[in-house]
Amino acid sequence: MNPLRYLGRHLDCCYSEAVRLVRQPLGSLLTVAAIGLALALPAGLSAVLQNMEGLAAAWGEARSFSIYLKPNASVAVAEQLAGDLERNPAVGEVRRISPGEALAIMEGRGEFAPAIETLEENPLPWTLIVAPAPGASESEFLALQDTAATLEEVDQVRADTQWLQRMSAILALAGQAMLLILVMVLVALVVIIGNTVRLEIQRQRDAVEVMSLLGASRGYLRRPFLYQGFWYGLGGGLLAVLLVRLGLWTLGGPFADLMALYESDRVLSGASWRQDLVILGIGALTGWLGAWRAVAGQLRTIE
Amino acid sequence: MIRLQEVTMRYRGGAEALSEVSLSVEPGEFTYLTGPSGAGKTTLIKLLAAIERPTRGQVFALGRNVGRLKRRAVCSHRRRIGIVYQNNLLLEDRSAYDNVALPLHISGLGPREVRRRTEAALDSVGLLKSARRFPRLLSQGEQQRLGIARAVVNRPELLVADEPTGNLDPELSREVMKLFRRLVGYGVTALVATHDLGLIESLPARRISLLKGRVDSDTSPS
Repeated sequence: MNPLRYLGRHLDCCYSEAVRLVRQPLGSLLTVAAIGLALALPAGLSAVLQNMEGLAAAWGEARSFSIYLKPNASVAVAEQLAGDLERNPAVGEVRRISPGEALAIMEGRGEFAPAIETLEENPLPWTLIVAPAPGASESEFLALQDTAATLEEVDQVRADTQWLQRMSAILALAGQAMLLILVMVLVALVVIIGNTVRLEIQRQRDAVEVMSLLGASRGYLRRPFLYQGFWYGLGGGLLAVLLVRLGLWTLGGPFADLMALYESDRVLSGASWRQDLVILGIGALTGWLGAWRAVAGQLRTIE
Repeated sequence: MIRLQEVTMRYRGGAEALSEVSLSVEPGEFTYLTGPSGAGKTTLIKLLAAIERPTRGQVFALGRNVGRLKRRAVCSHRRRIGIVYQNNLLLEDRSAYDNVALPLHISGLGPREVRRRTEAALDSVGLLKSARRFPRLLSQGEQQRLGIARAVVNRPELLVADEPTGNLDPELSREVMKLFRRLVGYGVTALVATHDLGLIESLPARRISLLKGRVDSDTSPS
């Protein structure tokens, strides 16, 4: 057959099935709603996880550590150490905080002011806040921390990054769980769509038989049901996209409030159009596969 | 065009519908297939359309051994045959036009050709004005004519009809038979199963009679 005509027949069939589903709004919407809700669960989880991973990465990039020098360390000692650290390729920036500046910062935080007023002299040491160079490896930077802790003029080194590692591990686990949920949801969708299409084939059994007697090939008989599954899946995918976007929009405010507590202006990122396309594609493909599974079995029975 | 060699057909768990039937129909020939109910007429038509496969013997139609056709070949074989079924087998949710156009869509013809041929087929059975009506709104006779239009629309090389005039009045029956014979004039081979002896006498042609699954007689008009 002429390829253009073949394509035309597919487009015609695709359009006819869409029109047919629109003409049965209630039944179609219920199926689409079931598919959409099922797809929205892993899609929504994925969007939340991506935001959390982005957050963890952003916090991870700020994995600086603080070096507290001994109380009697002089400016020269602090400058010498800061200079040595700045020459290290794993170090991006060394911020120097003098005892005076540290005291001023603490005084700025109201709750410490009464205690500070009772002090006869400033007990705070020189502090160096060391930030990693962009692209510096985790191990390289950790080794630097260990080395700094052994220096004679250093009192202590503090880096509170354990919680970030735990968070990354939890996110990795959640990612795996999300994949598992996605697989289960897809299997369930194949079954749901397959069952819907199977019922439709049963309803049109006489027509399928007649067309078979008139010489219709399996491809011809299969085509409308495959497009039916395709539309169900695509409709469900579209609903899932809308639900995910609505969910992210709803969570945007509380997320911003949470970030404000961490002195961050980070906002919840919405799903990109690529992610929307992936959801739509997964929906359509699942619909097609579900219909194929149902049609293959049913046609054998009818023939 | 049609050749049956010692064909026996036994349905699962049932009696023999055909028993060692041998016959042949030449290209362009118009032949009646007669016999009482249960004689095996419908079974013979099912064998020709590859709906059933013979238990024994061989069925040749359009140059093919129909009993041994693979699935894909069965489809293309059926597209080359026009079959008028006893109960018409019309699709109730499609208009008369769409019912007749169906074999053309299945054959993959373009929209313009589909329209031209469908309208011509509907016109040939006097149903062009009823093209948009649904089968349930047509009389039994009109439904039968619709079934005939669908059978001939694809310009089949072989036309097989199972009691095509069963629901028609005598006048219309004669018209339908004349239509079949006109198609034969264009080179189509026709095998028409009927028990309407009056019709056969008014439009004589070769007549194969079946009785209890066997060929009882095979006569041609003198």
